[in-house]
Amino acid sequence: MRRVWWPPAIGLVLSALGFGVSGYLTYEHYTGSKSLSCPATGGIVNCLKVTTSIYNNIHGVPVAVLGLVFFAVMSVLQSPPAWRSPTLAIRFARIVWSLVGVATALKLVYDELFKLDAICLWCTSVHVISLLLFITTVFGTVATAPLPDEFEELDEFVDS
Amino acid sequence: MSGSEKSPEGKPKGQVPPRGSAKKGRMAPKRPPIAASSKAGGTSSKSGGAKSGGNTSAGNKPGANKPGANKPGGNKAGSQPRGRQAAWQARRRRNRWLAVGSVVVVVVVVAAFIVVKASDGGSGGGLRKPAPIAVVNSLANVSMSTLVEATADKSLQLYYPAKAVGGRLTSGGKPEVLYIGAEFCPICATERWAMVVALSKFGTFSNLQQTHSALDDGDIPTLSFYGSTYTSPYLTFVSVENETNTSKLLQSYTSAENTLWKANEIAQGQSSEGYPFIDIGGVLALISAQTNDTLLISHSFSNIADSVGDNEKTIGVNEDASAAYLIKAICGVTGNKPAATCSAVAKLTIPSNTSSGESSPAS
Repeated sequence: MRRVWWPPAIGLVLSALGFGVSGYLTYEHYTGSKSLSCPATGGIVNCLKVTTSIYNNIHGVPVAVLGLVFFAVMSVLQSPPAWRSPTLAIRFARIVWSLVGVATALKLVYDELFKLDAICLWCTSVHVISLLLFITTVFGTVATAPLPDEFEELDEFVDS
Repeated sequence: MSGSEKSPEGKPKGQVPPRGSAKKGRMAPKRPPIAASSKAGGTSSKSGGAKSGGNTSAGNKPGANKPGANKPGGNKAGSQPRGRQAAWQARRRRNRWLAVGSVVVVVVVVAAFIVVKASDGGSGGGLRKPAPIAVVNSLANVSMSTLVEATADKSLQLYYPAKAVGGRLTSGGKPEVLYIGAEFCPICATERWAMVVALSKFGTFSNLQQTHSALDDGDIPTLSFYGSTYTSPYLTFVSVENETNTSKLLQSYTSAENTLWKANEIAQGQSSEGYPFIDIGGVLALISAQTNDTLLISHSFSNIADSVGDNEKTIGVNEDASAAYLIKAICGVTGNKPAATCSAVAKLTIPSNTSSGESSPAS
């Protein structure tokens, strides 16, 4: 396995940023969004409309809380030890988790644009972070691909 | 990456690397024992040395670099790492394209969202824009059976038109339906959906507008009567959108309309005028929306439009039932014309209100 510096570095920074924004949105969610710093401008930007909408939870769980959990798990998967690990399960979990993040972001963007007619800038920043994490993960996975002989081990692992 | 480029085995400089893989940019960190084929790679130092002409003892001998100098088995041993290397590189190329492809797919989906949204007319902000013809037609074509069926839902808590004061209201020899409201008002926003459905059974709207209540007052997507025209052989519809959704004066009402409005508000227990006010021919008057405006909060224009006419949806059944009772009230002043419409609501009775409806204070 090749060691490459940038996937864990970028991945961790993005995960920390996402965790921070999700934490802020979670705080606002449970305090009635009274101090939400994103005023309605009269255009499509209207954070309050988004964060207090019926689309702000998935199966009863607030989206902000789901974001916290997502970025907490992602922080672990993006850590240097996780990136150094040749374990196929970890590499696979990282890709699947980043895919879950970007798919959820796409669903929420769809809800914002076509069901709510409103965009929340904080939420958008989380969506962009999820997309960047996805890009980091897929290219990081390619860049840290196992060496030829390790591929044989992986193949044997997969076959077994 | 370069910081990790060192020989993990710590072999003396110049010694032939253990495998073809240990070239620039790669290192072999701690690994579990390697399978038989990999071990073959490890022993390929002999063949690798012969191939590269490195500082092996064999390599120093004259003719050691000639093809086939290392035999037997030298060629066979050398072909395996090369084969693995080629397969590995092919795999890397494929994975790289998979990575690029997956990112492109995501970016294309996001771009498609933005393009579709932009072509759809952009944001829900601003004052108003022409309502989509498809939506207006869809509202006009909700079947009478659907509307009447909605009234059978016992869970609905509606507010109904009550007896009006001020005498019969007519215009141009036809009964008049007078509406006074404001675009900022979320209660008006809620009631307009039912009004458009109901009035479309008696005539035709053109140039209806799409707007929303005030951003800080529900931001409910709705239609606006401002700038629209309504033609009907059965009644005259007079609409006054008194204020915009930013509470600026838009249309003025006459003093006679104001008198009528105030009289009906007082008759229904209110101390002053509030939006909306709907006088149905001077027989019945509505000073509120029939359904709760909070039902429509957080829904888009198209979402609400799609719900109207669908009694399986909460918005749909509330708006449909509201429209049915409005139709019943209007039929009372048009002499039950048109017959097809009014016969459908013949068995419907308008209940008395059990609670006072909400309204937005008029400025």
